[in-house]
Amino acid sequence: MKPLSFWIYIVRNFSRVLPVVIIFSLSVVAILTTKLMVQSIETDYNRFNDFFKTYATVTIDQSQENLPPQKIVDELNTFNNIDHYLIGSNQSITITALTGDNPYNAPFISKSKSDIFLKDIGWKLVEGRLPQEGKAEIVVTRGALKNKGLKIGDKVGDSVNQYEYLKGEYTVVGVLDGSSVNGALGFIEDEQVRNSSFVTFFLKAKDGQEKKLDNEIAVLKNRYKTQLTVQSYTSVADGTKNQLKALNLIIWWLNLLIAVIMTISIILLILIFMNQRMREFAILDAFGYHRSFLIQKVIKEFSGIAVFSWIGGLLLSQLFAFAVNILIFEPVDISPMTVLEPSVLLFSLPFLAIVLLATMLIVFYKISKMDAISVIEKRN
Amino acid sequence: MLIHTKNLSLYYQDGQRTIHAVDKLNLNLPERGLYGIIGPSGSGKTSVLYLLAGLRRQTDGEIFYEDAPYPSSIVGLNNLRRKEMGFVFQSHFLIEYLNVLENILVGADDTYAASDERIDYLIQELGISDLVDRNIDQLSGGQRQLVTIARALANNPKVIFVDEPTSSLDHVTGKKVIQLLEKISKQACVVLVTHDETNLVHADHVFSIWDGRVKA
Repeated sequence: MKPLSFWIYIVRNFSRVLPVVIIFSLSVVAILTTKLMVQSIETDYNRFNDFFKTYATVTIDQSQENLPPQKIVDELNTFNNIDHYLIGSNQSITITALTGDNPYNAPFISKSKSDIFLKDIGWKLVEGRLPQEGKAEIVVTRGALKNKGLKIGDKVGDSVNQYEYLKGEYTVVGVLDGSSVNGALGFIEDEQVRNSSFVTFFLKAKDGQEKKLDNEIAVLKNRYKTQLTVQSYTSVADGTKNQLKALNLIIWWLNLLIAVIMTISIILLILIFMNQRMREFAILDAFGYHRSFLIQKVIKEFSGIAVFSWIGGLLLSQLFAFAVNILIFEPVDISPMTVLEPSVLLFSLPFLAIVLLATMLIVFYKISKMDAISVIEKRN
Repeated sequence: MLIHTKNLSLYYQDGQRTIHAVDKLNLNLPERGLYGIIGPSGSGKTSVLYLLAGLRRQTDGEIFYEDAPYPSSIVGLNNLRRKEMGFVFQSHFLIEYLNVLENILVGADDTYAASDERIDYLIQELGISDLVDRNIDQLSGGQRQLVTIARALANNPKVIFVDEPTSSLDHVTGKKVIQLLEKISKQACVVLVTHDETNLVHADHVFSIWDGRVKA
């Protein structure tokens, strides 16, 4: 190997450049971890939204007695994009994610419609049994079961836990699985629906007409304003987008701050290295090595260190994500984090680019402006 | 002549005063021999060496290598130094993270393989074959100076510039280094800057520099 190969410098000076490697790697870990957290939150939001890929909901408050369900039925019958709809009560069940407690859909429908519902949503009963109509029983998805630490036979509801969105007290009698949708399912008699405060229409669009149905619902909402509540995939996805926009902005600033502070630290260390090596550069200059060669050599050395540190940071991040997934996320069914996705990998690249650019500028400036004689005459 | 100068001058400003570090110097350096440049501290002898080596630009006058003016470009000067010149400075300036052999190779031609035979010869000749794998911090001052000489000779230069090579060495080692330079001067031009006259007893010619001029 040539004595001035950049590999020789890296290998022989590894302990000296270790502070740069550590600072760089930890910066990548910090940047990626914030990104991974947001990604996990986004995945959890999407899991919540998944329900609305199957059903859009229209809910009316019967207690106000100003919008009878029949009027909505009449409206829905004029819709062109509905394949079918179910009437019931849409409760919520608490699922804890990174953002805190979230209300996931827990529809209560007529048992006679359960086959249609389960087929639409993609759920299958994998353990236990389905609830009996009119009884305080419920089946929950495997994810919800895990998240809430429940098992068949346990009670769930705000009577049991004050932080629970599900009103009342229900016994878990079965476990559902088979699709990405998380939540719970109960059965309710038609009479109970008629007497409940809120009535929800679960609207299933014709194949490929989901977007059009969402538009029809939006028109309905505009007509009745606050008299009804609508949730479609379009509306919840927009909501998610807005929430994530704010979160991403915070993360972006946070990461910019990390990148700036860490880049300054790395630049200061590189300046120290450069000052320590000026004698080496001066003697090479005296021996006729071109400054362009010296600049290239040092840039290659620091680029090698930066890329090595970046890869180290990625591996550490993945290790950290793996540990968090196993110890914290997986037991409560929070969406796992993974570095091994292009969007995540690319997220830390600007930091690498900033450090490389700053390094190149320093190296270029220091070597091109070097007065070899002054350095040599210092002698010590 | 290998190198000759015409009215070579180096001036610089110190406030209102113009300092004549080198003043209208005319030197002729043949292709072989040991040529001493001697003078007290501040006489300008090291400045002369830097000018002859192309490490510093003259402010006036001319300097020729094999009857051609020194290249005006930095790249041209670098190529001249890289191919034709060798250097031994007062301080060893060895690269700490390279071992002895690698430090010697730094001075070699870019095609290291072509230099192998010569490097082996130099290592044997300088008596440092036991040191080649050692790190620089494992060498004594004398050993380091021998390595710098090997490095200076690695590219088979036509001229070797040597600045105060014995200043940090004990008497015995210093004498050995001078003897080695005398031996090298049979094959090449050695320009030795020193303030110690005893180093130049076998010199082919000694230029005494006072206030940037050659003393008659």
